[in-house]
Amino acid sequence: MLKTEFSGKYFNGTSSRPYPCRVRPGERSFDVYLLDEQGGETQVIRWDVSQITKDDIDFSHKVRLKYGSFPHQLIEVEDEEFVVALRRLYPDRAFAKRDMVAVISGRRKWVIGAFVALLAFGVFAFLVIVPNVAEYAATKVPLSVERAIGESAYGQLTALGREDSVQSRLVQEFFEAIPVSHNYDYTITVLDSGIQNAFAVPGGRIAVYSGILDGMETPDELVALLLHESAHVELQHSLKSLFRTLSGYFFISLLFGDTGGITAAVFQNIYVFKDLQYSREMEREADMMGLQSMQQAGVDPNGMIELFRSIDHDSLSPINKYELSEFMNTHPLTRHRIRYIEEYIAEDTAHYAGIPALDELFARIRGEEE
Amino acid sequence: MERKNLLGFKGTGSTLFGLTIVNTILTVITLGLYYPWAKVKYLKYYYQNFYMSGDHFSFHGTGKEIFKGFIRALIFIVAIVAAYAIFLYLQIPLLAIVIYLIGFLLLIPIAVHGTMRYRLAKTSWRSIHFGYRGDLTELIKLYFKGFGLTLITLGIYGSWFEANFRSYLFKHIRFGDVTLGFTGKGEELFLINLKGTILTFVTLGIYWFWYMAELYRFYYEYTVAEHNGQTYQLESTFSAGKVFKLEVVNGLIILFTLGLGFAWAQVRRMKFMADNLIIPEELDTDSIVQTESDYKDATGEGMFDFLDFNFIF
Repeated sequence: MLKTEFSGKYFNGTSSRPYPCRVRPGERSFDVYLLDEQGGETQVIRWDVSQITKDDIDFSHKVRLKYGSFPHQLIEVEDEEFVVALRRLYPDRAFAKRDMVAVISGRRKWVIGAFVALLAFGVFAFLVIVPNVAEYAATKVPLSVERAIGESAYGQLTALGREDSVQSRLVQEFFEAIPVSHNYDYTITVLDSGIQNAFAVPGGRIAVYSGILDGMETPDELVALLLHESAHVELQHSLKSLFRTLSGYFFISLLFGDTGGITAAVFQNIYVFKDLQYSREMEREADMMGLQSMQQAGVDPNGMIELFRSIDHDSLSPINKYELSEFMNTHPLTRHRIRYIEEYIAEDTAHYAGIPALDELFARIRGEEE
Repeated sequence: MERKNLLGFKGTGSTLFGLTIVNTILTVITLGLYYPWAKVKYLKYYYQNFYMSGDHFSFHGTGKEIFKGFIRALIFIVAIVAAYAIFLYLQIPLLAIVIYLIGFLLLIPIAVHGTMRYRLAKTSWRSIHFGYRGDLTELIKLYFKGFGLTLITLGIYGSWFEANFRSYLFKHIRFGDVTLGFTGKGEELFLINLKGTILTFVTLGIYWFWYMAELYRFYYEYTVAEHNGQTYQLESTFSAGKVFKLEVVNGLIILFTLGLGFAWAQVRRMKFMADNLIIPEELDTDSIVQTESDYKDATGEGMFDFLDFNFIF
């Protein structure tokens, strides 16, 4: 049975007093029966259908209709069947139509679905799309810009050590004597410091601390170190890493409007954590490329393992945050690195005779000139 | 005795979120043209979910009106910029700058006036319309005086300016035969601001919650409604603890949803306002009589948007 009468509220447009009412929608008109407190009808008001309008939009089943010219009378009915009755009785009247934007907004399941999908997309964009696009952009940076970025980072890093120009020249010569071709022009600097480390900045600058040179016993170790560092440059690791980090900050500030505040701090830490993982991957990549270059140059790849073993791990310390391609990390990581390098070398059956020019230069670097 | 609260906000975050998605999609695919219509839907969402004595408010404005208002605001701004460019071209830079500054300073009172006129005329509750009867010339004078003194006193007069401005706007608001008013004084606002700024700084931000609660109380507890010769003062239950809970939880919602939780945060804010504002029960909300007439000019509405100007209401 279809309902033909609905209870609601009536307002006369001149006062805010509510009147309980019953509404009977007919073909040409609405009959509005005002009720007294006992529910008895006290008055009937007839609304001509052509003068009924609706201002509210349909976030719920509550329908509020207004009548005539200003000041408007109102009726309000909260009944799902009333909505259906209106659409059935007056399919062409604007007041019977539902506002689609509001109806869709009110569909809880759809909305929650959209929310979850957008959140998943946001997380995916944050963790995957943005950093990868940024990394791709990094490969498109002109060489001059790459150099400028490298120089500025280098300037800040070398504040920590004084250049040893004699050693620098020798190591430079040593590097050039390794028979491997590169895409960048390299400048190698030896910094006078006990730190057992080395780093490379974008554009082809490599810095080696004298501390790491002192611990070396064979020229192969120095070849391993230099080819590892140049691999970082060739693979544009620092630049990519910088772009990833910056794009992350940019994404956050787009979302939250600023980079200050708690929100930004939390997300920056997520990025630092991600960078840490990312830099381990980069180390592995540089190790692998370094090993391949050593084989190509005719240098025994075991030099890489010797290099790791010769480093006194307790003296290692992170230098600062600009050192994007720090050579060493922490002990377990080093063991892990030695393991995969050993696995790689195990497949190599070639015999390496060594390169006399490198031997000679290495002796001079070690101060063992005859 | 606990007082019965006549106000309430019944909207849900999910609906607001859905509305934002649909509005955003439509605005993007129409290259922004849909925006005025989107805005109307937002306003209707807020109005229809805001209740007093069991009945919600209604917004009667249309996208077309707001669109027209926006165009008029744009013409006004283009005129200022054009006048500036012309005088600059005629090599009268001083006049160009004066026109430019006065033009943009005028924009604010005009926008406020227009918004009050349009928005209130289009607001009703139980079919009783609101209205704004302020005079634009008076508002401009008040604004220029306040702005000038604030500038001369290096901002100190700002509190008086704000209190006076609010007082002017409120006393010209009609809600049927109810007249609103605002009786807050500049000196009290100044002391709240002074104390708030210093203590927030000294306590490394912790006092900010107390400061905000004091501001809410200042803005709302000095709001009065006059009806049938009686004056009723609004009451409130804002406290630092409530501000803390609102802001911190909202911050966390936004944070852990990458900002997508804004709709839920916004609904919490609306509920916070509605739940803490108390209309005295003695004010008989069943006997308000219609007094205002219909009104259609939307210039202020659009200009309001264009400037992204907002005041606590």
